[in-house]
Amino acid sequence: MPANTAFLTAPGRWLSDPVPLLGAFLSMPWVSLILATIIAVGIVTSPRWRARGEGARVPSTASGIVARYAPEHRTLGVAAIAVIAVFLAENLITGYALNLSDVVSWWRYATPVFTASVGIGVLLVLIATRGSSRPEHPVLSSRRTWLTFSPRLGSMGAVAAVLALIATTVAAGMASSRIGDGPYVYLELTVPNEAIDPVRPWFYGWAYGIPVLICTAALVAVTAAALHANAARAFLRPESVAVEQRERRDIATGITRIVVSAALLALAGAWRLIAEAGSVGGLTVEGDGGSESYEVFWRYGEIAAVGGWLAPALEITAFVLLLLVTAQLGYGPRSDAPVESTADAEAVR
Amino acid sequence: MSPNPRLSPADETNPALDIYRQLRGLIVSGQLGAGERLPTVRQTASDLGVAPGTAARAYKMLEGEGLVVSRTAAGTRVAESAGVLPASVIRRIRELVDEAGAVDADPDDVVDVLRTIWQTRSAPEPTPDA
Repeated sequence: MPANTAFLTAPGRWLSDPVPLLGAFLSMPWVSLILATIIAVGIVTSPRWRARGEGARVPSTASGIVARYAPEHRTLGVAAIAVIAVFLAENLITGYALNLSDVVSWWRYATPVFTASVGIGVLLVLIATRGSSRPEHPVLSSRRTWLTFSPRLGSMGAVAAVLALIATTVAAGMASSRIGDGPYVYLELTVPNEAIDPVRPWFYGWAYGIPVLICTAALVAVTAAALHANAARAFLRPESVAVEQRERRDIATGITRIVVSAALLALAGAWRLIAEAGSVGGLTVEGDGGSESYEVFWRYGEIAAVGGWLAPALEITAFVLLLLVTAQLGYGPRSDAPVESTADAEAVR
Repeated sequence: MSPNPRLSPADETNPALDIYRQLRGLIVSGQLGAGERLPTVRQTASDLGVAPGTAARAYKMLEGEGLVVSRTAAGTRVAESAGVLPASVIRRIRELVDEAGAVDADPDDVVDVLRTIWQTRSAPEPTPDA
């Protein structure tokens, strides 16, 4: 097959049409982070959030509870920051500092999921060791499972995000192709009714997807274990049950938010790459006798394009959730109000 | 249903009997709803710092009293005849309490509003002539 191939582009298109420019602007993670920061600040300064925060703070008289739960809140906050920092660092280093144009950066989409797994894994160890001390005064309560303290909406969101990530990864993996024995990183777009080589843009194939699937499996396992350990451990004493229940709910919420965020960050990256590959509209074959243009299209190109437009929204949502988790770094006791008691506690005294 | 299982005097200091009483308290006070699953034997043992066998004996006492029903796959559940309210209602009451606690609502206010709403719903529809 002759000579050079080049993708069709429209010169000056960006100047006349601001939409691609906006798309390019939103494709940069730090832009998403800035927008997410503005939204997160708006949320945490809202009267509703502040009222909830004040109501949820541990009474200063609840000795032992702060010591038990403070490291876990801090770990969640640090884990959220780590997911943001590692994600941004990976993007900046591989995007600007290193030339990886011909390297399959298989770790790229798995990075946020991996970082979240490590963070929640550390939390699990903390809960299993420091956070599961013997009760001072044993108390019996109703059945507690990994779902007991998990927010319903958050759990559904986490399941949806993880399922969407798995479905995207498997579907894209099956649609991907490779050259010879190389990695599955191409989308093969054939030119209809012409005997010329297909176009092969880079794609979210198995080379990227398998690390994502492995890390997602680890994340699911470690999350289920952490939620179970958080719920199943014994309460310290009858009068602390209500406060401890609230603490565990906050920790479960933090875990769920980190899981949703990690899955959304990976999904956003995947959808972007898929959209880029699917947006290829044609090729020009240049030979000795001039050049000829051919149209190619991918049957899922329009769906991929929608995914590409949704990617910044996913990324911004992920960053907002992570920034809300970092608020747990400010965990501490409040200086008023006695420790509450509950009907549960009264019943078993 | 007798308030306590038939036990010898030596059993009065039995930790299993103590657990039985606590669980029975949760059931008859309505904190565990009809059909609701009890905590696992392992969780109960962990919560109370006793051996799993001790907790299992307490469960046997409850089963003997007809307060709970044990099935292999479904675990141990509060018997339909023993629960004060269905498990679904108890679950929502717990959610209500959690939500009220999260916004620092006064429990008396919550109960008053609940009663008022209940009475409003239960009141007969006014006739057009009235």
